[in-house]
Amino acid sequence: MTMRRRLIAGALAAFLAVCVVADLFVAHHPAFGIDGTAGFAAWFGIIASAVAIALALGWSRIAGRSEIVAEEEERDG
Amino acid sequence: MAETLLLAPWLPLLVGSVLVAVLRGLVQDVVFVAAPMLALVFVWMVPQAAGPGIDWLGLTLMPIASDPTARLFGTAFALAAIGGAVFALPQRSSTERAAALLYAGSAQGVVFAGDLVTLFLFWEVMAIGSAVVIFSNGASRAGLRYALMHAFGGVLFFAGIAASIGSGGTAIRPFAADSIGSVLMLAGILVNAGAPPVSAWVADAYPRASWSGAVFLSAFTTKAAVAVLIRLFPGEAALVPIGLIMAVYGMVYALLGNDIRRMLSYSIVGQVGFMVVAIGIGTPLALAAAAAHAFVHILYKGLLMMAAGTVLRATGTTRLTALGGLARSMPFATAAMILGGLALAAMPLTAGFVSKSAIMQALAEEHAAVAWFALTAISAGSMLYAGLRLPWFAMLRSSTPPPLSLATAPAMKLAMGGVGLVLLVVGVAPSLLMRIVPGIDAVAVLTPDHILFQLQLLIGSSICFVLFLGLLAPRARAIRDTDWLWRSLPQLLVNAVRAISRRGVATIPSRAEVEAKKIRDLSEAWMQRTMDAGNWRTGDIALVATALLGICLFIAAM
Repeated sequence: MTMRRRLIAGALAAFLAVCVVADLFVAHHPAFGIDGTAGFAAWFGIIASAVAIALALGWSRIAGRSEIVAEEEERDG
Repeated sequence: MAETLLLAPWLPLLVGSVLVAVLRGLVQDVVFVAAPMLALVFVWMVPQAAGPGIDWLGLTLMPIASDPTARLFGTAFALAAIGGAVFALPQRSSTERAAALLYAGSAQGVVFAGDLVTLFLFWEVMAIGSAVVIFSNGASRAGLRYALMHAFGGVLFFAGIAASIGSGGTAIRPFAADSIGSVLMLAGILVNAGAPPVSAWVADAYPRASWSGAVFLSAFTTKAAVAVLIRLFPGEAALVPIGLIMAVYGMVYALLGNDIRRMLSYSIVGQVGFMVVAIGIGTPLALAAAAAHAFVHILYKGLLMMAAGTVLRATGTTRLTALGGLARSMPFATAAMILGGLALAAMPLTAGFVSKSAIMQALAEEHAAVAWFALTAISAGSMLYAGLRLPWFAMLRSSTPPPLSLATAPAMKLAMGGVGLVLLVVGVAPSLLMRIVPGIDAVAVLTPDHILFQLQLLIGSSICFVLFLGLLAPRARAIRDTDWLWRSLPQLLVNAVRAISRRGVATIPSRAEVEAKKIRDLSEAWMQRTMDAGNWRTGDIALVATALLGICLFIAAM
């Protein structure tokens, strides 16, 4: 990972930490219990995104086709 | 009563379509933009009641019936048509312009229809208009596939209507999917909504339209289906899992996409999935939230398609692998893509945050835990593909940008600026949207806990994007989709039949060889024609559509 990306990731993590701290001081209106805990959306967002990426890449391994086929389709109609 | 008919919002669009087809030059430009503007005026002028009935073949047709849902969708469709027309002013194709107005007018007809027969008539005209938008770009094969798919959906819908007329007439009313007729009707609507297993038609057809045609295509068909679902199948439980599958499908394929407009087409299916889930929940808040999300989605998806169209017109491609480094040379399109992507990801202070908050609150109030957690996760995934991956790889990353052949025309900037402004204004002042969707006025939107929740979700997603940037880089690859069922499977079956028939012919005694040769010649000629499944000739399509119609009518008659 490049230094620039590390810096951006660090800045985002710092911003996220600030949001989580701020979340400790606001009133929540949970519908399912866990969604009312401070910082829930932070860890849920990270895990959900990681799962989405894994799901997409896994599916591309199963259903991916060659570049030649893709280009043939690109020319179609 | 006749005055009400003259105020039908579809009327100026259909008349405009005819005029645009015969007029040329500046006058055509004026009619092209004025017709949807007049339609918007009519949407708000037509009385909120059922209009006059017209007797036809023993049926009473009601071509105009306004209510809050019709007004909301009518407003969204009119705004999309105005934005699309202004954006398409540099597009000189009279065929595309006429088809676009026909398409927009029939979409208005669908939402303002006062009975099932009128609804179906406009439904079919909508399919014709949209198919011609695709054909007008020279995409004949994709256009035929699109037409065939909509003929299939139309046949199902018609058979369902025919079966349901006996038990309640042609009145538009809530149905439950508990009879053959209502199931056929639901299936026909879901085909247009892009539901599984036929979701692939959206990403197959929309990217084949011209740089301006795709803007119109992104607005009407799937959202008209949402409006019809709200009217005919509110609270249908089967819609919840169907919508969730659509949302996951749309996200996964959009994350893998290389062509911007194909990504956006998959994203349409995913976002319509949110609406379908809400319709399946079926409470007044959920239905209003679905309608509100359709309204907002039409705007931000239109903006994204405009940005993609601007890139296509200027560079000749929308493939992410060929793009990058365009932010300096195309600042307007870059801003539009970022704003549209953030609205899709429901960033606070954009309109997407308002409508998605309404859907999530509707799910929370009904304690629909699976749907709530799944759609929250998919919202994070939406940020990955729309808010980050798309603008980063298309515009922002450092790369040698492709040469620009055409500058962004002022009309295109005006259209993108106008739609973007509406998205921001609604995001900052949600009460504006709540005025036309009163059902969501109790939703807490700009409260500290909601804003913090969404910010954490989106920042968490952004961190993942930065960490896994390499994995998300675009690649020139195609991912097998459900169109495999109608584009590849028939070819595989034909090959299998051919192999079996050859084996069979080989075992026939020599005295029957002449007969066998006849059979082989015939079957090979047929196989050759059907080998190009998905690229059928018009006559074959008409034959299949007629056969399907007959089968469905037979089922309906039973």
